[in-house]
Amino acid sequence: MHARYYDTQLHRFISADPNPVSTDNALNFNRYAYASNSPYRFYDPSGRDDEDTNPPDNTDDSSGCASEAPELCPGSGIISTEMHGIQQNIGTGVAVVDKVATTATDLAIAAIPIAGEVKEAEVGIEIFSDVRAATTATDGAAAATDAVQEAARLHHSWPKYLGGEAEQDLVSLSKSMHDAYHSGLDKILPRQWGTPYYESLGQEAKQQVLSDLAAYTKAFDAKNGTQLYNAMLKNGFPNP
Amino acid sequence: MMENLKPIASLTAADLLINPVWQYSNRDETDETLVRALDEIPVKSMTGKVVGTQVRFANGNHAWALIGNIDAANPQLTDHFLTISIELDGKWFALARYHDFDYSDRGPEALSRFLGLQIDDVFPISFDVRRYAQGAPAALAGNVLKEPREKLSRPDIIALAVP
Repeated sequence: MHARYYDTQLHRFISADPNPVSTDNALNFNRYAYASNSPYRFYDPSGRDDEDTNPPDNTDDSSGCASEAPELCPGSGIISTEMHGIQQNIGTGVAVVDKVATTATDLAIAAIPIAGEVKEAEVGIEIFSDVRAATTATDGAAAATDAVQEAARLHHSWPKYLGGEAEQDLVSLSKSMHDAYHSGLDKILPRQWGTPYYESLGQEAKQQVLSDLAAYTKAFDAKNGTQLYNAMLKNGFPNP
Repeated sequence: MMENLKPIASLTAADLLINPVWQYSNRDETDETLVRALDEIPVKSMTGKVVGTQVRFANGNHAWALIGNIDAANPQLTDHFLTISIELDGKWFALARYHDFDYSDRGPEALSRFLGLQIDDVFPISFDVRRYAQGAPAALAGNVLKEPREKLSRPDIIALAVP
């Protein structure tokens, strides 16, 4: 096991898939994606290959799952799939790490491709510029680890203090981009006034807040090349 | 290392007396409004920070205030975007700026009522955070006026805010 390392914040492996590219699956060209970008359907206990959490024959109850609560059984839905994946990860000892990689070689190899992938997503152009500077394995390990830790921020595209849900698809932004977004937003919708203030607003005022948030975010996207407004929409932000 | 993080809405004058400068943690996973105290002052930049200090009203009285959106390099940005909350008996009043949608509810008249003073006893409110931050003196010390020197349209304000 321990075929690869996984970054729980980036939701990506940070070293390349050791298996050769399979040309019959387009998703396989991404050498850093976890479980074909479909973690509800697949899990990857070894870091080498996806395994279906819901195989054709899922009637075997060898897990001891209670039939009264099928939604909690492995292979029966989103909740069970997540549980199944966690159990499998623990059981097989996959190296799931949180922003920590243990070998310099992995970091030096992994950092640059990840940078390319995130940059393509146009959500954090500056994210891994520091990582690219880590060119030697020995010096690079600590520097790359620091840079990754410092660089990535998971952003609630619809800020919670302005009504966004706690559970959102988070956007990975560089620290500088994330700081810039919030710094600018503070000028229009200050965090200084506190969550209770925004929660206490009437319906009309809340609409105005959302309108200002949309206008600011669109302007930020236009100036900085991000796609945060689209991310807001995907997270339930009402499309005017 | 455990950080001393607090929601900004929970800060008290006592907190500000101990730690004048607070920085947003910018960790969305928890709470976007969490701030942590900074030990080393003066800070090089006020971006993403708020400062607690005593301000002086026009009548010479002092009060604790929490001030944000000071741009230490650009007094124009400070003029348009400065946020100030005034403390009285443990309660905070967040003053709306001219471009805020609830200016009529939280503007200078409302602050004066909150303080039990006439508006001309309150404004201008003088602030000076030069001991807490490095930067242009004109941006770090000044007055919050009853009426702004310049008003921008909503689109212009948003454009000015975007970094």
